[in-house]
Amino acid sequence: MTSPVPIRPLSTRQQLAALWVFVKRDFSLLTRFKTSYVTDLMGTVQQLVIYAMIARFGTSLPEIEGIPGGYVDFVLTGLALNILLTSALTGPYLGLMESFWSNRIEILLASPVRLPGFITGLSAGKYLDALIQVAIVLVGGWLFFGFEWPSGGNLLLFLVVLVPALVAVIGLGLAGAGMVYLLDARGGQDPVQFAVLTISSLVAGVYFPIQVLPRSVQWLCYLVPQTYALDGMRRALFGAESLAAPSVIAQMPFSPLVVDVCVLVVYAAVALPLGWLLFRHGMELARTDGRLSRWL
Amino acid sequence: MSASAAVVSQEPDPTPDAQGLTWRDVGRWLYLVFFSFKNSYFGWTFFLPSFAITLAQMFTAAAIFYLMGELVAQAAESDVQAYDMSYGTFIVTGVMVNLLLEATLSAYHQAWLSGYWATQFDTYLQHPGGVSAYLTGSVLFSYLQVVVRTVIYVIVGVVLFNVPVDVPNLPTITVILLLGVFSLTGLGLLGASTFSLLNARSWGQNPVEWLLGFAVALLAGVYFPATVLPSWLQGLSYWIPQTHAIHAARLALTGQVGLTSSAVTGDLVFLLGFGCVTLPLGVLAFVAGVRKVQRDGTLSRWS
Amino acid sequence: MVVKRESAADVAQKEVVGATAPQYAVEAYGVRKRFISREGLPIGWGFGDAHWIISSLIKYRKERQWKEALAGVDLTVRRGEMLGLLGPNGAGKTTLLRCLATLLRIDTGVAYVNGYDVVRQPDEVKLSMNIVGSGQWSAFDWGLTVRQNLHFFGTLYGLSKAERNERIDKTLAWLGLHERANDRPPTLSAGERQRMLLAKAFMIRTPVCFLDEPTVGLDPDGAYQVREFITRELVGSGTSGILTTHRMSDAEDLCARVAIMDRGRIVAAGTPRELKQSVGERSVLEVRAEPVPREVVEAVRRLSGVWAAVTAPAGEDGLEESLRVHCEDLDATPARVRDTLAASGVVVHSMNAEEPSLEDVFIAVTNRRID
Repeated sequence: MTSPVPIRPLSTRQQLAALWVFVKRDFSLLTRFKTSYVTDLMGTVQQLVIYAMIARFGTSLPEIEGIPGGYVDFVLTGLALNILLTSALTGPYLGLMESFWSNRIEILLASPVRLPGFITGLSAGKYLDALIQVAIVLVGGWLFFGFEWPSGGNLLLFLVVLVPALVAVIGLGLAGAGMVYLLDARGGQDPVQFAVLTISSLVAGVYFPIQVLPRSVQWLCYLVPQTYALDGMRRALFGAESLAAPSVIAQMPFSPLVVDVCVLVVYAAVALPLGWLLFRHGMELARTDGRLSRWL
Repeated sequence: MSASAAVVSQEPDPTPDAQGLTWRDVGRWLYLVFFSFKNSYFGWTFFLPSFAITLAQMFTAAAIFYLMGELVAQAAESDVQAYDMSYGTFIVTGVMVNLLLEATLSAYHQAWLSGYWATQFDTYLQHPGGVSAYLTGSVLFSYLQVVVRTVIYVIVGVVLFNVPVDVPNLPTITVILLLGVFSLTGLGLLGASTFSLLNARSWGQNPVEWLLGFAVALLAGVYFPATVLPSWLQGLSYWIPQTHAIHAARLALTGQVGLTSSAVTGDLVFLLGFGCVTLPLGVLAFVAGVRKVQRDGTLSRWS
Repeated sequence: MVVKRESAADVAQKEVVGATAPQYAVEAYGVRKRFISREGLPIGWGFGDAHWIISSLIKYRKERQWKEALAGVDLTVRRGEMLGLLGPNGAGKTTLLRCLATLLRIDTGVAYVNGYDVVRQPDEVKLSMNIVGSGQWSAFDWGLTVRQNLHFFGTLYGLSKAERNERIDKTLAWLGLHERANDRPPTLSAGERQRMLLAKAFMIRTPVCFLDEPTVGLDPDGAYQVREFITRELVGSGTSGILTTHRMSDAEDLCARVAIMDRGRIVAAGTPRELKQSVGERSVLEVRAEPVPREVVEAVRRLSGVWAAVTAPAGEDGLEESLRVHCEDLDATPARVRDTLAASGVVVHSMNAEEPSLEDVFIAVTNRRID
């Protein structure tokens, strides 16, 4: 082996600059194809109107009475928070798929950006898009549908719930992205995403309290982190300690908020390393089998 | 011979009315239609697991709306009492009927897109009447798909979401749905013409489909009765065919109306009239679109 | 699949050997790579949301088959040298580049780029090299301008804002793309897009550069411009690298040394002059004729004094073929070849003696043509 020509490893600042350039790239592309992006955003508006109009009829369910804005606030906070969590779940997969089908994956992996930076960068734009959609839901809800901004809440508590929730969901997202190469899930969805999104949209309390579901399916809610995330964040936002909790959580000797945070922290501690392992294993398998790109 | 030259030298599509046509030509054309239909079916079999996933997602969405609807049923009762169903079932039936109507808007454009991007036109261009046969076969298959999907939806809807199906009234329901399809076919053809007239060649919705789809979701009574909208929006909703089709179909599903009932006469007349006006316009736009690609030689991706 | 690696002792032995060798920018010793051949499911297909179900069903029903892409490649590139890698499609050129760029895990053997092991030190390898080419390497965003694209890659490689701005302006000026800096790739011509890719190579300036078929798809003017740039700015500035091509003119004009690759192996290596001389005592006849049936080519091969005879299409209309004949001498053999073709009814348009080219080296070793 010969003596190498000295090279300069990327500093932390340069790695962060590389991450930021991915976000800038996604933002440039979003704003470049304006018509297409506006069309996508109108989809969010459509969702907002549909769910808000249904919620406006209102309900006298005790689980919702603790929320100042009633069912509208329940639904719109569920919708907004779900958009955020879904983008964390689907971001890695969608980012990887976009670079796969646009033939960019190899040239990006051949650059000095390391794997964590690579997948974070590819996902970053999706979070930006999600934040814009969240703003549309909340501002639109406030302007047109009677959404009341949370006033009795605790922002710090909210973040204490949000951070482990995002980490947990990102771990699941990485596992899903790993399925691209582990299971050839190249068609638009992976099994992890499918399972988590299907379960969470129905039973995690996004659109209605879990207690509304038949008892035979309520147990599913304990499987997904979104249940604890939505419950915890609503409690933190609305100061609604009186909100009824799912039965198992209600039976614990701690406050539901504490239970939510603890479960999320454990979930994050397990999901993130496991998800990362699966993702990295998938990428290594692709490198070994020669399936990184569409070109063999 | 390049594809564009093939387009220019293409014989006009044979129709039974054109002079010089033989029954043999018609037979050949029908064979191409069958071939295209079979091709679409074969390709679809690879997507059966995807279809199953789509169905699962569809029913998840239906369950969500149903449960939301049941949650607000008491407060919404007065707005849906005319339909003799709970609010949850109200939403599910609206979505179900809209499935069929949405397919009419998109089928023609989707057929153009798949022919273009899968380079099927390049193959069918080599046969007289090939392009029209391909489009016909593809559209027929799209309708088969949506009928299968709707039937499955009805079965699950009846079992899980209390969707009423008054069996003796099935002929009425069928006529109403067919009128709904008729009323939207012209707009579907108009949407398909944007492929060439407006270069709408990306996968996804064409401008007509998108605009109407947006309006339908908010105004046509799919998810909430149009009566809860502000009056100026209610006025707008009456100009959308889906409003009338869904309203009439809901009443027919519960066996409350027949074809001659006054409650739906207005709806049926509107659907018929709308179709009679928009179908010729849609056909004209479609033919103009076909002539444009023939002139420009842009039917093939590789021209 | 279990990847069999060389033992640490084997690697240590090679490291010792390498340490006593001259300064190399790229080294590969015994590199092997096999791929799974997936019948019935082309890698570029997608079957919707449940693609993974279809793929798993097909994968587990069919028996795995293996295709050997690299069958033991030994290769070195000296510092400051551009090595041409010549070979037909499917020879393994791009596969080798992928292995050296850490995008493919080699099965056995070792490889070093700028002295760093491609398996154990991938981060250092990535900092040391840049890969440029068309097709799968043309990864510019079509929604971003030329300048934005270069900014993106410059940032990935750790250039500061000031460095990026300076190098982008200089590079675009050199390449004649300054006026197109704010345009997007779809609006550029094929030649301009190719130069844009080379801009990435020159702007980033790593010690090693891999160029994968940089002139493919270009018209003669465009190809000339690209070759000029490579000669002046890359080779001229001392960048080491590998240039893969199946155009002999690119290899001869741009590269100090050429390695010829076929079926996953290096079959010949040396300077263009050495390689041509290695053809030895062969004389070369270039025959232009109507399409020659296979049995007639076989008949020519069997003629006394003929060592090799291979055909390839010539011209765009498919009405003419080029028959390349390696023979002992140019006295009696040309007449025998002409007589054989005439007896079979093949109309000969022209027959000329030529100097051996790099393709003749390939023919001599493999008995096939490169194209």
